[in-house]
Amino acid sequence: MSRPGAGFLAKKSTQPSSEKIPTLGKAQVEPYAWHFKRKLAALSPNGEPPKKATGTDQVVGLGLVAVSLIIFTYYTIWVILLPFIDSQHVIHKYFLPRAYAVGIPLAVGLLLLLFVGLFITCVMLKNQKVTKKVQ
Amino acid sequence: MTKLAQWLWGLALLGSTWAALTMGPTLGLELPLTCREVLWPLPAYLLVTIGCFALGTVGYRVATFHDCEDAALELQTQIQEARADLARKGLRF
Repeated sequence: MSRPGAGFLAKKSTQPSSEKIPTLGKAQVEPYAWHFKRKLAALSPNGEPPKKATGTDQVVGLGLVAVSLIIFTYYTIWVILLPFIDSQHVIHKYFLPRAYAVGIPLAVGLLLLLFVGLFITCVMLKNQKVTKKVQ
Repeated sequence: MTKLAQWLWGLALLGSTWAALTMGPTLGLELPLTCREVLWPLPAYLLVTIGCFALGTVGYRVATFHDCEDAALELQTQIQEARADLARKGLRF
């Protein structure tokens, strides 16, 4: 060490600037918080914040879980369990012929790919139109 | 070996095993009929199972996610401000 007490300073200067993560202190955020609160009051004339329903989120989420469970159990029974059940059993009445076990997922997958492709095409066309307008 | 290479390797291994077992009877390998019946839709079954698992996980996370009302409001105000600002500067939405 060339200078006594320079260790701490030397360490700081050798740190690459990309490692330093900028943080906002409360004093820097406070003036903007007032700004946001004013905008909030302008949004809702009653003065109370709009309520966010956890209800619909829960309903949608649980609905998705139920749908996935139903599909999973039906498909598992269809593909894995039916071949081991006697062909004269009454349960075979509730399931389609076995060829559909591959055909239906394949068709659904192709439809999904089609929709994704159409969506991408629409977005790209919209982007091209916007850039043409700006030009 | 990269992750992609590992996944492709595993898929190729499973795929070749399945192909060998399903086309076995044509080459002389004898399997009971029920096993062959279960075996040939197996790739489609695995795909559907993975899809169901993904859907179920997404649904569960949507149902159990905690709402942050303040953050949502702040975000909405910020979006409106940014929209107004950019529209003033000439960006078209």
